[in-house]
Amino acid sequence: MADSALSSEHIFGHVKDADYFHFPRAFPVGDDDGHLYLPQPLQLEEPIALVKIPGMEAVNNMVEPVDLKLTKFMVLEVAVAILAAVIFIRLAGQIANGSRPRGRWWNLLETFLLFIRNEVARPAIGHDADKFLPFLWTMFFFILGCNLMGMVPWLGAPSGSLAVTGVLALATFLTVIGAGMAKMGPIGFWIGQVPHMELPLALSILLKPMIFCIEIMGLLIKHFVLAVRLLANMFAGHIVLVVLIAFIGAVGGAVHQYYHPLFVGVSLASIFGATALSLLELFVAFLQAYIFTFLSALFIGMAVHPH
Amino acid sequence: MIMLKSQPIALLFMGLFVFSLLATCQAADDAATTVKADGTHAHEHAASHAGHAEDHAAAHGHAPVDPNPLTINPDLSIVTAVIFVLLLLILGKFAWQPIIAGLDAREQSIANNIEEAQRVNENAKKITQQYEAKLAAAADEVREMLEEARRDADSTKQRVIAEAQEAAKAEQDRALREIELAKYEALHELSNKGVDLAIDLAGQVIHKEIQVGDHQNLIKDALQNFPQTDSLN
Repeated sequence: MADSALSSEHIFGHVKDADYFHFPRAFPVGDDDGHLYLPQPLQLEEPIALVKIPGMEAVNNMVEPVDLKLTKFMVLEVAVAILAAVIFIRLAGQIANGSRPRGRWWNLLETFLLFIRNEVARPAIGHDADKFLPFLWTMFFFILGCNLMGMVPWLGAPSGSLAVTGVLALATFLTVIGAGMAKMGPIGFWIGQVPHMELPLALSILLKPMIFCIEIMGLLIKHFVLAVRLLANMFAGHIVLVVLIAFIGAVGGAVHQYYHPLFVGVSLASIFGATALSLLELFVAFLQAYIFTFLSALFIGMAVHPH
Repeated sequence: MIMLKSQPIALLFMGLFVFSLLATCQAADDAATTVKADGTHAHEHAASHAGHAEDHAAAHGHAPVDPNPLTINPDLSIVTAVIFVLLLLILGKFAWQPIIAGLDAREQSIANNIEEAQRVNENAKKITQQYEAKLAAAADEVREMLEEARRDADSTKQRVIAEAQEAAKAEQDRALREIELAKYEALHELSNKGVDLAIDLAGQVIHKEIQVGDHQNLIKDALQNFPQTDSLN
């Protein structure tokens, strides 16, 4: 079954990052498989493995070697960034003079911006919220753009890759630490990680370092989960979509006829199922962008106001 | 109305349907290859099956897809970090800052407008109250003036009536007095004329036939009548 439409090769190949865009073979772009390979001006002949821990093959395999290969997700991220820049710099020109919003597009974008400001940033962070708005706005629209790219046929969701969500979570983590240290002092922030407790001195010396370690681990895990939550939602959603549609290919491969009733029935069921799940995915795209932004704001708020 | 409301949802659904169809093209495409492969090279296909994916990947110099979702491509991480930071900087400078400033300016202008409206409203209320007070005062004044006018008119009327009555009375009195006077004078004249006539008559009588004896009778009569005349007056 390695070449079947339902093989993991096919299914994961459609969801994971690649060095090509995958179009139908009927399209005049791409090779015989419909793969449009990206140019690779920088690719290294010999990839450099970053992690080489003896006896830890699972970890070694998790971090791919550096090969400076241009991939689909990189291109899509650049597209998202350019789109966001064009849309919001244009919007900024309209809003800058303080005039009232006119038109659906302007109102829609402002609804997003004001929702994140009034319902996410300000309740979670408090009076310093507006300082973090640029970060939260950028985060929300970048993630939303990456998620929505996955809804466009033949593209993909860069947020379905740990390399992307990990970096975004890292950005939140650094912002949280930076904001906390700026507010509480470089040492005060770390001391503040241990909740205040009335303890006898002996017990305090014993317990507080342990609690400190637990709190720091908690801080790291919180942000790691932030990355995994977005990754899992996008990855799993798209896997389900691909599997649903791959049924068509699998049945086609089994019955060898386009007019076979099984093929027609499964095709129709798959198309309707995929359409319904696309609606769900569209919702998830917005929901996960919101959740990531909301949790980022919450973590920043907790760092800035520890009590 | 219902059509209008459900239209965007219907459009969305149709859009996604078309997207699914497009994605299906690919799946059918995959199926087509499989059908062809299975139909034409059924036997050798089975034999070369296992190595096919690797061969196919090797033809392009690519490693087979690793189904592990937790793999990290450090290149992609670096690119993502660079894109995110650049986006944050560019949007921060050219979009978020003007947007925050614009929103603040709008908020400020709305607050100012409301404050201004409240101030104007307050002012208008005050002026209305002033005018109402003025109107009330004017009404009082008018009432007072009417009252006074009525009082004036009343008193004038009374005075005119009194004067008229007084004048009438005076006229009447004067008339009465004149009548009295005329009567008196008439009586007086009558009495005077009567006396003169009597004296004339008496004189004539006396000149013609008076005798010594008559003189004496006359005087006697006159003396007798004296007190009577006195009482008459």
